[in-house]
Amino acid sequence: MGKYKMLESLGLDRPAEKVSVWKSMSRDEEFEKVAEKYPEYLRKFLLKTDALRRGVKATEAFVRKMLDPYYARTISFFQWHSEDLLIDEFPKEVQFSDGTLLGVCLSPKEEDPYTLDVIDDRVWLMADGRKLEEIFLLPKPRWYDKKTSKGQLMQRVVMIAGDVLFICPSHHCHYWNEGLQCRFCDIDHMALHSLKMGRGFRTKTDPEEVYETVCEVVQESGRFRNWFFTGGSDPRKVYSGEVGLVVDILRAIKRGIKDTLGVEMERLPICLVITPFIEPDQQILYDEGASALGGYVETWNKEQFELVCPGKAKYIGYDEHIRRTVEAVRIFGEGNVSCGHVVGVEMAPPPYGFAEIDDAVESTLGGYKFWIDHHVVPTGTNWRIAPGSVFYKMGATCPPLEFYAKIDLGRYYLMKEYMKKNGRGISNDQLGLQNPQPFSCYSDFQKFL
Amino acid sequence: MSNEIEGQYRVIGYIDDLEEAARRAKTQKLSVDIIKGIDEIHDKLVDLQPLLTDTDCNDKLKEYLGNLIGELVLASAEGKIRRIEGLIKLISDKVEKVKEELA
Repeated sequence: MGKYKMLESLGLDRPAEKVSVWKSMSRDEEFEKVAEKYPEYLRKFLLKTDALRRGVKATEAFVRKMLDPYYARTISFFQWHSEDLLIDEFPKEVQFSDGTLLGVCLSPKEEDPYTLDVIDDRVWLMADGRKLEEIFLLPKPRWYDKKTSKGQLMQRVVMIAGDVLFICPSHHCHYWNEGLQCRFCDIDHMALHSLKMGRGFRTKTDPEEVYETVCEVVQESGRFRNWFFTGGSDPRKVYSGEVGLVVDILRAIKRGIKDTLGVEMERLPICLVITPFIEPDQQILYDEGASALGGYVETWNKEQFELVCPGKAKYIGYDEHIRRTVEAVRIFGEGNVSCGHVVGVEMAPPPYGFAEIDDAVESTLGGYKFWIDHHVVPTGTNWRIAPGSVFYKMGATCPPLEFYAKIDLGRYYLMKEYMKKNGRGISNDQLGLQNPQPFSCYSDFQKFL
Repeated sequence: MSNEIEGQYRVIGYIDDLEEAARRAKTQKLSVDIIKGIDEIHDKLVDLQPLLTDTDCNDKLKEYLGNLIGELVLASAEGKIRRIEGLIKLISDKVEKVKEELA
């Protein structure tokens, strides 16, 4: 065995190209070389991954199309774009013909983005005038333009991603108060932009407004299947305020369902991606009806974690973060706990990340193997270098496409190994098949498990 | 970056704390007037944000507010009505003063 034991064990040990070599290639050349080297990575998925990495630009025809009020447009809690764009003409995600969701990340021309265009009234993902994939826009839910009794648009209380409903309990992360925010994060930068919209701005999601929104949401039958929570942390008093807010929101959802449909739900199809709280608080969230819990360790290498996530390192610590996530399996059950990585951050400028692809992939797949061995589902979001983040200010750039190919295939192979060993898959419906991820391909590979 | 405004995100923290104070006050079933008072400071800060155009402005706000909003969160969590009422008045006046100075 050589230096890269994990890569060797998964058959991914054919050496990756040097970063400098990839950077010298054109978009198409890089894409075709990766597609040729990793034929088992579906081209459609590879296109999604590259479109997330390079981003997209939109033609005037596409912008005009999006003005049609039939389509959903969402302002998210992260910007996702690689330049400040205070506009809401764009969808947060679009769909390929097979249902694969693609997050819409707008990029300037320097990043050689793909293009969203409209030809003969059909929307396409294109490159240099070539049609690559037909795109389908998500229709706006009926409740999206309704307002709560406080005058807030319901689409700002609950957002959509495919058939998933998103809630961001807090648009502010307290790590920013001390300059200890994760180095890739732009949540407070985005909050500052949203604040400019005026008095309607709230950092916290109001449970009463959630209740009112849920009363509308559940009347649109057959469209939504799962809920997903994520947002900023508040470490004060051992995160008690953050736990309290999430509990209030869970109760508001239950009350909304009961008052509207007359159904009392003990367990809700809700995945909470939040701080890895201490076990008694995890138990409270489970008892309140949450089905799944996830915490983002962000990056696997301990030294890099401490540099990339100084707030998490200060208030929880790397080892404790991992211990609590593993412990959560006891409460939520195997396959109901996930640990997310911001995939790509492993290749942030050293010492925050690794300089070369195989070192970074070896590290992250080591983390994935650890999680899977402990019945925790490794999940993730591909890194977008957003304005307001420390890495953006540093001038960081995304890793080459080959990095993502190796990571996603490695995860897929590890998940298959688990299935072979245990006679079943690791991931339940809250974290797997029914939880599409527009900003990563892991859930797309999940379709084949 | 040379044109970075130091402390520009601080106001988000203050606003978040005011929302937390209001939430705690509701949990304690405190009066509508108290919650309204906290919400009014929240809106004043939202209105003030466009005036925080440089590092000095943000530092001035920090200097005036100190930890008063943090104290308000604590008082709201403990349901200390008189303390809350006093803090609402004090914080409100300080925010007004900053606004006058920056306008």
